[in-house]
Parts: sequence; structure tokens; C-alpha cells
Amino acid sequence: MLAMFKLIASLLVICSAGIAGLRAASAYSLRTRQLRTLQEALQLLDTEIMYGATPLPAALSKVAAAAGEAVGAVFSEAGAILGKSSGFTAGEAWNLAVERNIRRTALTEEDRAILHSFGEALGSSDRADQHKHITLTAFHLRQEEEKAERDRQKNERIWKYGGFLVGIGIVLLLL
Amino acid sequence: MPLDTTASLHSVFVYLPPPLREILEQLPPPLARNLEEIRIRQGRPLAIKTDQRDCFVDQRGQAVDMPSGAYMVTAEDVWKTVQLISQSSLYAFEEEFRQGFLTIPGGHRVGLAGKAVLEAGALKTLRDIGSLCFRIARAVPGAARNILPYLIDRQEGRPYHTLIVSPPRAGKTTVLRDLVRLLSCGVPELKLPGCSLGLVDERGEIAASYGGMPQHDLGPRVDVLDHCPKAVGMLMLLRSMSPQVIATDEIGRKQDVDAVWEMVYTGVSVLVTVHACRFEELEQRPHLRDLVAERVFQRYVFLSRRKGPGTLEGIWDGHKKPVISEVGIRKPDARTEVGCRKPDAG
Repeated sequence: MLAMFKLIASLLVICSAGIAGLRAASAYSLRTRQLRTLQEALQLLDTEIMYGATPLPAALSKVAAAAGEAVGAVFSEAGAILGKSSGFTAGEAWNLAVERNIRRTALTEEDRAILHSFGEALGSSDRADQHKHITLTAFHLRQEEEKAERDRQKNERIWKYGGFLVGIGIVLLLL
Repeated sequence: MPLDTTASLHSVFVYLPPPLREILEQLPPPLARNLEEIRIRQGRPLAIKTDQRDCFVDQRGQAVDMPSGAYMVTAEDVWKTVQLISQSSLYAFEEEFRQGFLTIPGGHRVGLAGKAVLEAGALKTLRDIGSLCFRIARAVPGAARNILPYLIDRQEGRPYHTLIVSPPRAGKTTVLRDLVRLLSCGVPELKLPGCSLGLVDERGEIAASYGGMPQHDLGPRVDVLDHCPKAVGMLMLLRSMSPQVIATDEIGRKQDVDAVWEMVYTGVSVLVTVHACRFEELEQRPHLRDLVAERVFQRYVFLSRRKGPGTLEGIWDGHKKPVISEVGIRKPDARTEVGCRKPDAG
């Protein structure tokens, strides 16, 4: 009976630690993917601005639909805030949307800073200038994506297996 | 459905930043009801114009005559207003900024003044906007009811080619809008059936289309080309929508007049407006004088602000003879007004 109890407890500890490790590992690959999605979303926004001259509320909503759930939520909320004409400028609406939704993504503080900087000039100049601004933001995001990919390669495997190993270590210590 | 006063003002106030919105929402009802313009100038007092009064507004929304008691508009107020009227998308309104005005939902025109940016000697756009002028649009159903009977050719069973002549802010757009509505709906009392109209709404003020739908009531038989240049638009409508009447606002440029020439001999009635006060001014305009000399227009409707916007000064035929002098329009104490001031007039 006691042996059965110890076995179940050991399995629970190992699984919990392993799952925690897997989640930490997946955050690395999730961040890489979301940074890529952000760049694609900005490319789409650029097209809407440059070729459609689509006002931001509609442009942001269109981009949100193509950007997936986590990243799309930022664009969607920014578009919704602007669409309500509640007195927010584009920059304010964008920054508010980033603050409200970034926790649900795998993006880091560095990524948040890039997004806030993007919000400053959003909608406040002509098409050529908006294009330059979007291109610059996409460039910074690409740099972060490359860094994130290096981090992922370095750390993902460690976290994937390390969680289980830590769990096994805890079990051995306790037994 | 026609916009009432409350709806008209609300559709303007949503484009103002909170400090200005809160002040103007406190305007006393008599002022609010007759509000025609809101003037926002950076570093200067907030000003409004009604049909009877030109004054400033203080922090509590009360009208004051002296600038010293008024609310001073800040740079942030102006900047935020520009952001709101452009939906924070300045890039989407480059053409409008180049023209110096844009039209917001509701058909209200917002004039802009700022620093001109030139490129190769031509105006490219405006920046550093320092002043805005909101002109509040109100549809007045019935505004043209009194003049419509004089504009119908009973023998041919269609409207005459008509030119509405008026100085700025004398109600010509309001009258044109109501003429379009009446012709589109038909007028049973006059035994006038509805006819199909094509409307070229270059500045988006007549129909106030939003998402493809006119927000002003134009009746059931109108096709609207929104924000389309007049000259191109008139020809497009003629070829594509088989209208019986083509209407547009403020002709004057050569290409607009050339398009009118193309229309008038196609069997389509033409209903247009022009900025002028008197016949003599029309005859001095380089492109219009030929239209007048050739008697292209069969009816001229003269409007003024003499007794408020929409004051009818006279209706003349193509031979420059008054059509309605028998109504007493020429008597010194005649008060023939095409009711533009009260929604239930006409």
C-alpha cells in the first residue's frame, strides 16, 4: 500500500516537473512563431495603408482576422477602440491594446518596447512615412526573432528534458 | 430617414476631443438647434455661429460676446480633433488635406487651415493644422417644395435644366438635396411621378454616404457617386445608370461645364448649382457665360441669406424673364422664404 502510494506520488512529481519544463520550452518556440506572425501582420497592415488607404479601424480589424488569436487580439482591440470614436488617438489605442493583451502572448519586454515605439507614429503621417515606420518595426522584430530562434535552439531541449530530470531528482531525494 | 437636430449634432460631437465635446454639449437648446458652424482655432477662443449669432463659448457652454471670457482652444485640442476626424489615419485623407477640407459621416464639412506643403510648385498637402471649421449639415425636408412646381416642364413631363444660383451658405446644397428627394419620390399633389436620378456627390455633402448608403433621405430612386469628380461622374452615370435627371453641386470649372454640355442634349435633365449672387456674375464667369448665352438652362433659381439661409430671391427662365413675379416676389415687403430654418416648414 505504501509502495503504491510512493509510486503514484513519484509519478505525479515527475509529470508535474516535466510539464512545467515542457511549457517553459514551448514558450521559446511560441515566441519565435508569434514574432513571425507579427511581422506578417505588419506586412498586411502596410498593404492596407499603402494600396488601400484603408483607415486604421478597418485596417486593424482586417489584419486581426489573419493574425491568429494571440497576436490578432492586439490588432483587434486597437481597431475596436479606434472604431468607437471615444477620443483615443491611434497611438493611445494601440498602446492600450498592447498592454491589455501582451500577457496572453509569449512576447517579452523587448518585444513590448518595439510595439510601443510602433504605436507612437501610427496613423499620424502620410503613406510613405507610415511605410518606412512599419518597415523599421518589422526590421526590429526580425532581429528579435533571430535572437529568439538562437535562444530556442539553446534552451528548448534543456527545458524539455530538464523538467523530467528535476522531477526524477526530487523523487530520488525524497525516497 | 432625415437627420434631426440631435442626431446632427451628435454626429459632429463624436469627432471632438472630450474637453470640447463636454463644453458644446452644454450649449443652450436655442443655440444648439440653430448651430451652423463650430470654429476651433489653436490658442484662440472657441467660437460658434448660428443663423443669427456669431459668438464665443465659455467653459460652461454659455455663449459670450467677448473673447476674454471664452474657452481657449489648446494645441492638443486641435491635434486630437484632426486625429478624430481622420480616424487617426492621416494617410487615408491625403487628397482631402490637399483640398483643405474633408467630409465626416453625417455630411458635415470640416475645413482645415495650416501650413501648406508644396511639391514642384503645387500644393501637396497641409500640415500643422491650426484651425478647423465644422459646417453642420442638416437636411430640411420640404425646403424645395415651394419652388418645385416652377421647375417642371408639364408638356415634356420632366424637370427643366435648372441652375441654382446662390452665394456661400445660402442653402443651395440643402435645396438641391430636397429637390433630388422630391423628384425621386414624386409629388402626388402635383401629379408628378418619381423619376430616376443620378447624383454626383463630389464632396460627400449632399447624400452623406457612409458604407455605400446615403444617410440623408434622397428618396428611393437615386444612384449616388460618392466623392467622385463631377465631370467624370456625370458621364459615368449617364452611361451606366440610365438616369432621367443628373444632379450635382457647385459647377464652375471647365471640365464640369464641358460635362454639362454633354448632358443637356441627351434627353437627361440637368440640375446643378453654382456660387454666384446675380445673373451678371454668371455672365462674367469664363466657362459659364456660354451656357447662359446659349440658354442651356431653362430655369435659374436665385437664393440668398437676406432673410436667413434659403431665401428665394427669384426664379427666372432661360430668357432671363422672372417666372414667379406674379407670386409677389418682387414686392418690397414680400417674404417668400424656402423654409430652411425649421424642420417642419414647407
